[in-house]
This record gives sequence, structure tokens and C-alpha cells, in this order.
Amino acid sequence: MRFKNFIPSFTTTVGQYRITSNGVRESLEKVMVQSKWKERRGKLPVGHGLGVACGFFISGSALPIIWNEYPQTSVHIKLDFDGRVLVTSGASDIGQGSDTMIAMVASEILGISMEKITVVAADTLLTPVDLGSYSSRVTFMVGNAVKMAAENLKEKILQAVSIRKNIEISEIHLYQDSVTSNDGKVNLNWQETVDITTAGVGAISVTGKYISPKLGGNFKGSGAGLSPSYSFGAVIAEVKVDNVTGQYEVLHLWGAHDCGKAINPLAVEGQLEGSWHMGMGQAISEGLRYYKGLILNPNYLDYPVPTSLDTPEMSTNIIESNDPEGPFGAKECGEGALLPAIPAIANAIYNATGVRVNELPITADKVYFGMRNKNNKKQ
Amino acid sequence: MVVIMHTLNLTINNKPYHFLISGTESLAQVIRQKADLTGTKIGCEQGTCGACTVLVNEKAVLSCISPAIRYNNSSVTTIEGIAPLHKLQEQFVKQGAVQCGFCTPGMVMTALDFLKNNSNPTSHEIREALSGNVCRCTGYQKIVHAIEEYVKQNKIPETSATTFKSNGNDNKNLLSIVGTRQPYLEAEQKVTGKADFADDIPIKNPLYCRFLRSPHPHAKIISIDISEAEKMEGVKCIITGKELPVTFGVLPVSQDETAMAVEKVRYIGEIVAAVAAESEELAENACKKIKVDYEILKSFFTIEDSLKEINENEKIHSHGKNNNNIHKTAELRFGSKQEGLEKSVTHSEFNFSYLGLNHAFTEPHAAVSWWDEKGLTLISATQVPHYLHRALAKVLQVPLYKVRVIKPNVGGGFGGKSDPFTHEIIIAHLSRKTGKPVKVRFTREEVFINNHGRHPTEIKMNAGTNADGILQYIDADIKIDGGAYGSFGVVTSYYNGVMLQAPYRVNNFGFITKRVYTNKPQCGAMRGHGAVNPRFAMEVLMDDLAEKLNMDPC
Amino acid sequence: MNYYKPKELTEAVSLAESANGSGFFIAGGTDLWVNYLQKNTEPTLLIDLSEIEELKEINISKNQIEIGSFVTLDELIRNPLIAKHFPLLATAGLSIATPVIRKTATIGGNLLCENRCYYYNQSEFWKNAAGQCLKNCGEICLATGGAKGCYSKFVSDMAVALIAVEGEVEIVEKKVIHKIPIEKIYSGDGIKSKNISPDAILKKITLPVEKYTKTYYRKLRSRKSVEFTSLTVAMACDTKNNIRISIGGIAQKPLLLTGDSSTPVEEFISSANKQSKIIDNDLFPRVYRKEMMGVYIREGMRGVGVVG
Repeated sequence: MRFKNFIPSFTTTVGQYRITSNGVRESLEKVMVQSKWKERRGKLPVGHGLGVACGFFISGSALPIIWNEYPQTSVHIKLDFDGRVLVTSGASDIGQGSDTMIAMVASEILGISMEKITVVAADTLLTPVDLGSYSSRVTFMVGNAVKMAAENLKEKILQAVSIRKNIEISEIHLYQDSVTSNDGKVNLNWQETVDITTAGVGAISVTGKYISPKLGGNFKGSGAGLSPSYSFGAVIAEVKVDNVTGQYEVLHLWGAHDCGKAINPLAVEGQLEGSWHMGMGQAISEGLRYYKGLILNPNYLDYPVPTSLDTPEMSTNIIESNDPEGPFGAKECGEGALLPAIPAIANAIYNATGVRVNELPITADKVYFGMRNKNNKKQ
Repeated sequence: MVVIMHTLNLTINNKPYHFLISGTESLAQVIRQKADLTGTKIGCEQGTCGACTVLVNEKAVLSCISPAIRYNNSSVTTIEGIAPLHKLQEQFVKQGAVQCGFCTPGMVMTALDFLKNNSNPTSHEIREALSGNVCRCTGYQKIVHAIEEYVKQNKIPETSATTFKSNGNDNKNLLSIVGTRQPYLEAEQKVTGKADFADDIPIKNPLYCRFLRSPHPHAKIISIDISEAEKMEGVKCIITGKELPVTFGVLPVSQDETAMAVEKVRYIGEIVAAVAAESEELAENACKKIKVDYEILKSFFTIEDSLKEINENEKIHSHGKNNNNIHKTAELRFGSKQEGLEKSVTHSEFNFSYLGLNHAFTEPHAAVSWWDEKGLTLISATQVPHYLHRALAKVLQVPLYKVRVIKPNVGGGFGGKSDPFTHEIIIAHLSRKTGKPVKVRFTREEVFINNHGRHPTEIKMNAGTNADGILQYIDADIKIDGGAYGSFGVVTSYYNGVMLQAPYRVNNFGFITKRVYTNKPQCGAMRGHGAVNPRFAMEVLMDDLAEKLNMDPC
Repeated sequence: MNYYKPKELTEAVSLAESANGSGFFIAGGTDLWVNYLQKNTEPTLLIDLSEIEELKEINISKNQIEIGSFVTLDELIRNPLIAKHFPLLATAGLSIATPVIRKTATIGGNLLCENRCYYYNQSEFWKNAAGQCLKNCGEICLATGGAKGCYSKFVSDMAVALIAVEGEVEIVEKKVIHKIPIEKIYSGDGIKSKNISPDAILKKITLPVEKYTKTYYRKLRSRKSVEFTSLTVAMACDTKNNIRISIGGIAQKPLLLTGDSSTPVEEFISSANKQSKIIDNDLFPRVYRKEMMGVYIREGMRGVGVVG
């Protein structure tokens, strides 16, 4: 039924969201095949269940929180005599790997190795403004800004070489730490290239920025959820429920997420697995409890984040729909993947027991009493 | 009170140390503060997160719940002692087992200790061994894989250079770096404990800040008497809400919070006064000497109560236009529900309820600030240096060019470090007043009190399809419990609805979200902001509709 | 705070006696220190038992096995004698706390760990804001809202397992050594949960060998690691079909039910229900824990070979 309802790529939603790349179909296909959905669902041993769900999320809020005309993000790159490329950005790496992403994008565009690139980030004196790590905006927006800045630097480098060597720009390339020409006459190593580029002008500074396109409808509230691109995904969960106690175990999660293009697949996988794990926490155990306004469980003992033993092996699939506006086609992967994990587990429990628990977290007692009520009704 | 001091001789990472300690110092405190080895992290002070794991006489020990005094003449190995780079650490880096890196030192120490007794573990045994170490970033998968890979590498004879796995990209765009598996630039720093998080940054002669927090959920502040606390030795400065009356909030439409409570407190744990002293303990003791008189007000703890009509003086915030504690109503309707109902043959409707969540990142909030001739510098565990920069300038009433915010390594955020926070503003002010650097770190309990997590939510949602299983309408009635302040709540209110317009095509779609204020710690943005709870509801409805139609839910 | 690390048991006893009740023994210390940080205990004298070698031994004789109180849970789990004669203890040990905590936490410490409650195991700030509960010198029980009694929960899983297999402890109290069944240590009073004086030392645990051949153990908790118990049921059946059922996490002390293979399972369950004092001070609601108590007893009876 989900396949029948999926919104296509390059369309508009009812609330005027501009959908561009959309890998939801591929995501669901992937996890269906991997989990052997068709072969296994409905034929599992007693107590086992398979459940599915899909997800959708923004890839960066198109509007800044505080309205102004400053770009969403701005990136500076400096090249000096030593050949070091300094990228400064306000982007806040909180463990998601944005500093690494910045270095990778700069390295890719410039055609120089990552070790020559230094990223200085998130210092409001030294780095140009980035709005922050929220709304899954960093790879999309900062990635684009780095790309633009690096392209600007590359152009300056090639221009300088072109003039010095008296050769058309279209005849030379910056690749693998050197500038070479099609005819083989120019072959400059990086330091020679840097010397030519900085000759007479000193350190080169370039900038890049990202500004969202104008999007959305003309009604009040139309700005909420506008994003230059959206991410999609799907999760299938398998659970095993003890029919006597209602206690259950999540046996496996198959997940797929359309992140446009995985700039750093290692980091993307980490984001996806972490998201599914966090979703599982909300599904199975986490929740704040209160006593007269006091949090009853304000610690890691009583607020049960799933441990390594509670967390199943996950099958991690990156779906690349190559977004037309994302840097190299990339869009978000840090948040959206979480969404389908929770309902997939709930639907798997239903598949196993016939009990719908619509109160999160789905603790064993809710499954147990759900099963008992169902059995009582039958009799 | 006479504090009895004891001598403590320790060998840490093969280096002898002689300390004078009180009996109440933990091993973690000695390692971090006296030996300056900040690779060992403090995450919970309860024995439940494992970030503080070190080896004592070759055995894994949780250093933050171990009195240091027990270990006189012992040999301690911290993450800094695993030098230069253990092959296990190498695998942590290569396999992407390091994200924020805050749990990593403890994780590595636990794993090394475990592998000593079991050099050929199964995946289950690895998971069991790590089950006392919380990681909030990775879902453990890459950590388990890193250990497995290390075990595998240990079994086969050393090959030359190890290569990264292919990324499965057939290189069609001739990309040479993009699309390759790159360990984080700083992963090696993190895995060796060298990476500085906010509380690890060496600062000369800092003061330490602790807070007096409200024990009441909703009360007027009648008076605050700091005279006794001020007289205490080592106490350098005490501030209360009246000094910082300018409101702030991450959204321009919700500037409803002050650095400390000014006229009334709105949740248990709201900061009423702050002390800067020569040690955390002194600051804590001084807080206990501050006397506050409160006049108790009626409290609101549930969505139901906060929706009710009330008197003006019962409102949690006076700025609301309505006679209730509703903060925001967001409603959008597209198409016609009536038309959707008419075209549907199958309907599904459920009520859903959700407890609130905390981000539970492993690094408790921490910050340090100082002033010099250029103005304020604040280093903080934040996701939003820019918005923090603006909030600091606004509340401290200094020009934007007098503020500098630096984000060090941050031990996870997930939205929980994406607001400007009161403690950041408070230490900035304290350091301005004292002329000294001021440090602060939260306990795990304070992280929960600060919260800003996922809203407790109630959703009534219905949807219908035609006989072919094509969606005809979605309608959602959503109520979210925002706690005492606005935070991202206006956005959350909209996101709870608007994120339902995909990935399924629907032309008749409407929602209404009501966000209420309650006298509880505030809620805000958490991973999947606002979209997570309605998505759960929608996907359960899809499952139900498919079953009713006897269709495969896929 | 004063601190001593005696090398002899007698020295430890004298130190404790001279402190007139203000001294605390520290074994693993994994709970003591958390309680200290939460200001539930404020020791002025710590007597560290970690260098008293006689407390660290596991010995087996013809009829019984002796486990020193300072044996860590990790050592217990890994001990081949325990694995051979008392797999129940290894299973119970594995269900306690986390792998790293088990390297420090001792069997004696686990037996004597303080009763717990959502409303008691909180910070000083929390308890001030909530109002002090009975266990914290307050006037009402916050968990029940009543003033009748403290319902703090007994949480030693090791005790539950040991009681099922007729474990006894040797206690040095006022320089006298006495041996009592483990269940007798516990008073049933949620506030002062032990019958022994604070300056008594638990020396060792003794168990009859090869008496209880069939055993059962199950612990209810929301995660597979870390958690204290929400309900622990241990059961043992001896060669003469006598049955001992021990239950933790459902009252201020462990319950012990005895019978034999002819005792109807309903009788055990109804007796457990009568004696338990389950309240809502746990992640799992009261009604669920109560239901599971019956379910686990039934399962246990089958587990030890009695078809219920």
C-alpha cells in the first residue's frame, strides 16, 4: 500500500513543499529484499513479527530562525605561501563529522589531498557565520558553501597558472596535487602552483555561501518545514515477543535512507545507525516520568537508553538519489532516519501479537495487558 | 568543619604522583583535576555510563564512583597511557566507531580490559562486555565492528598498510575523495583522550560556578538573602535574576526566558541564584546558605490542566492573550476533509500518547568564559555558537562585536545543545563581574532538568483510503507539553503537523497543534524535531489501513 | 573523613566498634559512593576491607562451599567451582549491574546493598524539592502518599539466588561469629532494612554442595544490563523434591516460600501475593510486576521439573 501512495520525485506537496530527489521507493525496496519481507512475513514462528515504516524529513530549514539577509552560511578559504589551505566555517561539529565533510568537499573540488586542508570551525571571532547544527542543514548548506569557495579558489589558481604559463585555462587541470596541461608541457607540483598563485598578491582569500531558493506558498504558516531538499527512508524491524510475559526483543533492523549522495559513507552509516538506535530507545524504553513536576528519572540508571546488549545488529543501506541542489547530490542523514524506526518496531509487535500499543515507550507491561485484553475479548 | 587530608601515592601511566587529597575526592577528580589527564570523562557520577573507566592495577574501574583514597600505592592506567596508538584504537578510528568521542576513552579502556581475558570473543560477548558503557551516537554497531576487526587483525599475520573498504561507488563521477570512507579528522585525538571538550580546557585560576535552583514548580520570589553566603571564604561573587532582566530565547517570537528567575520560578530546578567560588564544593555550599522566600502558586503539570480556562494570575506566562496556559496554536488545512471522507471506504483512527524524551548525550553541558579588553570569550558545548553569540550580546547588553563564542569538541547534542542556555549567560556575567575565568559543568541530573527534549505528546489522528488503498485524507489533532518556556516550541508545533504531507501523496490534509506551558522543565528540539511523534502515528495508521484492506503494508 | 585499610578482620571489627556506628565498611563501594554523592550516607569513617585476604577465598569441602564476602561478582561468575556446583549463582551474578561494576562489586556488598526506591535514590536537591520521604527522615512515603511505612525495595539478586539454595552467612558481630540463614539478615523494615548492626562484618557465605540440583532464575528488568531488579525469582529443588522459592524486588525484604513437589503452584503464588508489598516505585507498574511474579513462579516450577 505504501508504494501506491508514495509521492513522486520532482513534485509539490499539498502544502507547497518542493520535493526534488526522492529515494523512498528505492529505500523500501531495499529493506524488503534484504529482510525477505515477502517470503517471511506471516510465515514466522509464533511470537516473531515483521513491521515496516517509512520516513520523511527536511534537509535544512530554508528560513533562518532570525530573519535577515545574511546567507544561511558563509565559508572562507585562504591559501598562503606554505601551501596549506585553511577553510574557516561557523559549522558546529558535534560528533556528526561536519569538519571532515568540509575537508572532503574542499579536497575534492581543489584536487588536492586532505592533509593539506585545515578546517577551523565554530569560533565566532575567526569563522564566518553559520547558523548552527540543527534542522539537518549542515552538509547541505555548508557543503554547498565550501564547494563554492573551493571552486572560486580553484579558478584563481588556474587563472594564475594560465597567465604565467601562457596557456588557456581550459587546457589545464588541478588534480592530484598538481597542475598539468593536456599537452603535458605544464606539470607543476603543489608548491610550484602555490608560488605562482601567490606571486605578487600574497595570500589568496576566497568565499562561498549558501542561500536557499525562495520556496513555499503564500499562506500564514507556509514557512514551516520549507527546505531546499527532503530526505526519505524506510525501516523494517523484526521482533520476538514472549507471548506469556509481553517481553520482547528487537532482533534486527533493516534500514535504508536516501541521503542524496554519501559524501562520507562511513559517517553516513554512523548517523543512520545512531538514529535507528535512538529511535529504538523511544520505541522500547525511554521516557521522562514526573512526580509533581520533578523528573522522576533524571539519570542514566532510571532513564533507560538501550545498551549494546539491547541493540540488535542493523543492516545499513545508503540510498543515493543525487539531489540536484545538494553538494555532489548530498542531503541530510542525521535526523530523518530516526523516524521510521519507532513505528516499524510497533508494527512488528502488532504483527507478532495482534496488539497495537499506541503509547510510547512500548514497555512489556503494555504488550502483556494488550494481549490479555485481546484474549479476553475473544472468549 | 575540619577536613582531614590524606596523602595519596599513585603511579599513573608509569609516572609517580604524590597528592594531598580529602577523603571524599573520587579517583576521576584526582585524575582529571590533579594529574591533568582529562581523557577520562565524567558522564554520570552514578556508575551507569562508563565514560570514566580506567584500569587500576590492571583491572577496569569506574573512577568517578571510586574514592581515590582507596588506591594509595596503586598503579593506574588512563587512556593517555595507551600510547602511542593501540591497534584497537586504530580500528576505532578506521571503522568509524568514534563520533562525538566522549564515550570513546571509557569504551576503549573497557574493551582493552575485556580483551585481556577473552582474545577471541563472539559478537554477543563484545556487546555484553560493553553493556555498561553508554554511547549515544553510534548505536554501538561500529564499536562492536571495530573490536571484531581488531580481533581478526590480531589473528592474522601483520600485513603492510591496511586499506579502506571500497565504498561501493563505481566512481562514475570521477570523484576521488567524495564518496570514500573517511574517518573523522579528529578521530585519533578523540580515541587517545587528547581531544578537549569544554570541561577539559586548561584555564588559569578559574572560579567555579554552581547554582541555587528552585525547589518549587511555580512560585513568586518574595525575597532572596545572600548575606550569609557572601561572607563565606572562597566565595567571590553571587548573582540573582534582577541583575540580568533582559529576556532571551532561541526564537524571536519566544523571548520568554531570563538568565535566572526574576519575579517567579516556573519549574523545579529553575536557577534562582548563582555563585562563583574558588571550588565547586565551596560554590555548592554557598548556594545552600542563600535564603529565598517563595509564595507558592498553583502549578500546572498536565496538558489537560493547561488547556483549561483560568484566572489571569494563574497563568504561567502573562504575555499570553488567552485565559489559559496555551503557548501556541498552529493550524493548517489543505483540500477538504469532507471530500476525503466521502472518497474513502476504509478509515483508521487512533489516539497516541508519548512520554517526553531527553537527548541523553554523553557529555553533560559545560562551559568556561572570561573577559579581556576585547570583550567576552565563551567556550561552550553548544550546537549553535551563532545564536548563543546573539543571546549573550542581548542579555549582557554589550555590542555584538564584544562577544566571541568558541565551540570545542562537543560530546553529542541531538538538539539538546541547540538553544542558548541560562548557564552560559550566567557564567559570562560572573566572569565580567569578577574579572576571572569562570567554569561550569552540569551534573547528569542538571542535564535532565535543563532538558529541552522531545515534547510529551498526545495525538488523535485519522486517515482514510479508497478501495485501492490510495490515501484520501489525513487529519491530526495534536497536543504537546512544552514545559515552562518557549524554546523551539513554535516550530515544534508546526512540525508536528506539516511533516505529514510526505512521503505519501495526500490532497486533503489538516492538523491543529496546541502547545501548552506547564510547570516542568522545558521541551524543545530533539533529533527529528517535531516530526517523530506524528510520523509514528501516521505509519501505524498505514499499517492498520493496509490490514483492513487486506493489502501488503509495503 | 577518616579512612583505614586494615589487614586483619579483627582489626576491622575493632575499628568499627570504636566508631560507635558512624563507621562504614567499604567493599566494592559501587553503591556506597553513589549513596554518598546523593547524601544518603555521609560516612565520617571508612573502613576499607579490600586488604583482608581471608575474605577473598572460595573453598570447597565435602559438604559445603564457602565464598568469602569480598569475592567480586566477576570472580564469582568466572569461578570453575561455582560454574560446576552452582550455575544459578553465575546466572544471578551475570544479571547484576554492568561488567565493569562487577569487577569491583563484591558478593557481600551485594547482599548488604541498601533497599532502593525512586523517591529515595535521588540527589539532595531532588529530595529537598520533593519533600523528604520516610526513609530520609521525612513524614510520609512519597511513593504511596501514606505514612504507614516505607516500601523501599529489596534489590539484592545475589541474596535471592543464595536463599533459594539455602545459603547461610557467617557474621562477625561484637567479636562473636555466628552463622545464620541469609534471609534472616533482612528485617522487612524499609528504613532500617538489616537485622545486623552496622559494625558487623559479613565474613563468608556457605552453601550445601550437591543438594539443590535443579534451579531456576529470572530477573525482570527493562534492559539486559545495568538495571536493578523489578522482580527476581529464584527457585531450587533438592534431591528429595523439596522446593525453595525466593523472590526479590517486590517487598522490603526477600520472600522465601518453601514446599515440595506436591505443593500446588497456586498455593505458592497466593502465598507470594499475600506476602509481597509491591508498590509503584519502579519502571514497571505494580500490577505487571505482580502478574509476572505468578508467571515466573509457574515457569520456575516447570523449570525445576515440577509440572504446575
